[in-house]
Amino acid sequence: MTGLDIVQLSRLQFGITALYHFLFVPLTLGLSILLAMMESVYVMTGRPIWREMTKFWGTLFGINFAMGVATGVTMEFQFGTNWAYYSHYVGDVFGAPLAIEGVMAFFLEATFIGLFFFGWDRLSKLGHLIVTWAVAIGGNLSALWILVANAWMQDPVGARFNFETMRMEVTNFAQVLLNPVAQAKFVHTVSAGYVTGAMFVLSVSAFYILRGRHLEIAKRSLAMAAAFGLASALSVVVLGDESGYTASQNQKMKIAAIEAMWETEPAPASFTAIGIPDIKSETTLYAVRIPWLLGLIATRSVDEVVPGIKNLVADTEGRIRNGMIAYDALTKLKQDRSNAELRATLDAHVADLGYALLLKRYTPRVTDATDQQIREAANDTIPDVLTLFWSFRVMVGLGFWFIILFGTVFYLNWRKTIATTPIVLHAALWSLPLPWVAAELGWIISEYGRQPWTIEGVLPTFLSASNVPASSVEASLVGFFIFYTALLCADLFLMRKYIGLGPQADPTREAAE
Amino acid sequence: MKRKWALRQEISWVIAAKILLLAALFTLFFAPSKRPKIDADAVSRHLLSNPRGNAP
Repeated sequence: MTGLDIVQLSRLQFGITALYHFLFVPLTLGLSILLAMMESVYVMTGRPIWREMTKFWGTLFGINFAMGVATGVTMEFQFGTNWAYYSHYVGDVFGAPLAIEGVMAFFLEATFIGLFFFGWDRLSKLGHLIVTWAVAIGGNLSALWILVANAWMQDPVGARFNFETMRMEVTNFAQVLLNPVAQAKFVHTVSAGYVTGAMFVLSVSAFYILRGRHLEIAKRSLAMAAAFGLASALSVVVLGDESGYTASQNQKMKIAAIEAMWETEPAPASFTAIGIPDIKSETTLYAVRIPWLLGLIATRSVDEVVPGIKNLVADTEGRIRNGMIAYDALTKLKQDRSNAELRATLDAHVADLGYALLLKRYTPRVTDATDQQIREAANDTIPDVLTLFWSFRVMVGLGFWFIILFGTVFYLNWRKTIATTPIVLHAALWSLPLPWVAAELGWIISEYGRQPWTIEGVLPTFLSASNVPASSVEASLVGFFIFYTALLCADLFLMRKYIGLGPQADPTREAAE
Repeated sequence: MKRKWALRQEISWVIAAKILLLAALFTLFFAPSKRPKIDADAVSRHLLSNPRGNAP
């Protein structure tokens, strides 16, 4: 029907569901922290307007949570069906953080969310505040486990290949959990969520101020969102730099592709701020380069080299040849399991076994691969340079725009002139979708940049997919499209309706104040 | 109070529809009977279809 093969269809389905799911996640992460901050002010000052604010933004948080909850479950459906080889090969490692996340999301987070909404008149002020912080912390912790699992796909530490079971098995769970890629990804991702939450509050508050409605709540919300958003946007940039550094340690090809850097430059490498990559000529036209910057970001030094794509492909050819030795030993071990010499050979070369698997695209007889086939397989390790180059620059550009916008609103609010500066309020209003654009681009860079691997250097994507009928994946893709479109429409309808209605006035507030 | 109940009702409808759709998708395409049975032998056959060969 679509003309796509099973691997492309499975990737498309997973990509669409993951990107859709992540429309809800960052707002949950960011708005939950803002709610906790607003309620903290209420408990500290005793002023009912902060309770009213918490309730209003809490309603919008509730709509987002209700629409988003379980949209990620569909990805777990797909692991067992569309990615059965992947699930067997790495399920031992990948399954644990996913299971912990399930427990956190469904039990901890859901329980406290129930208490948040139904506990206003049943819990003490302090008791309810603790619940609100538990919602925020629970949500952020469940993100941690997903990012631990994803980071392992980028940098598979703490596990080794077992030829008896034909799977990767955990050798050190602490290494999996404390993987530097996971730590960098976690803080970068939650900060991006905080920016999203702050932008949501900022934009909706700007809308109310422009319309002259709910001014007391809108001005306070705007002030809090600007301060929190500015701190978060600065964090995203700083922590994104850490993500870049960790990627440059174990995913050098991803960094080279993001930079469209075909040749290795003398250290310290320059950063291409903008340009037009030309894939045919393997050059970047009209490139504007910032001297030293890439070398400093990627290596934290002035004398270490950042390798270019061509050098990395040449290195990969060597790893493929090394992996062929492991592949040969593994194949023979299957016939002679007790052969100690073969085991020693496999152990010595197993780190490159995944590279030999890249040859399966070109020949069923991996150990007899020709030089041409090895070259082609090595070339397959270059991800889509254009997608990565532009996605990264748009994402970074948006990151700097958020700093400027939050900074400007923060400054004007401090000068008490924000309400009389409509151009800034309009900018805040129309910037509403931009954090989502940046966050989705971030995931595209992370996951597209890992191709052709599902597990970096271990398992190629084309060998991870199941041999299920393409028609079945096409049909479920249509089902997901209908499901998600309906849900998105419901979400937008409810958000628009309740933002339009605005906060509910608390009749006791005026008396109390 | 009227608004609170309206929202609860709307969210309940959406969640009910979501659960139904998810259950339908799961039953039609992702139930255990639809999953390929993969074990160590199946992975060996998938990855190692060349039992004889020489490394360079």
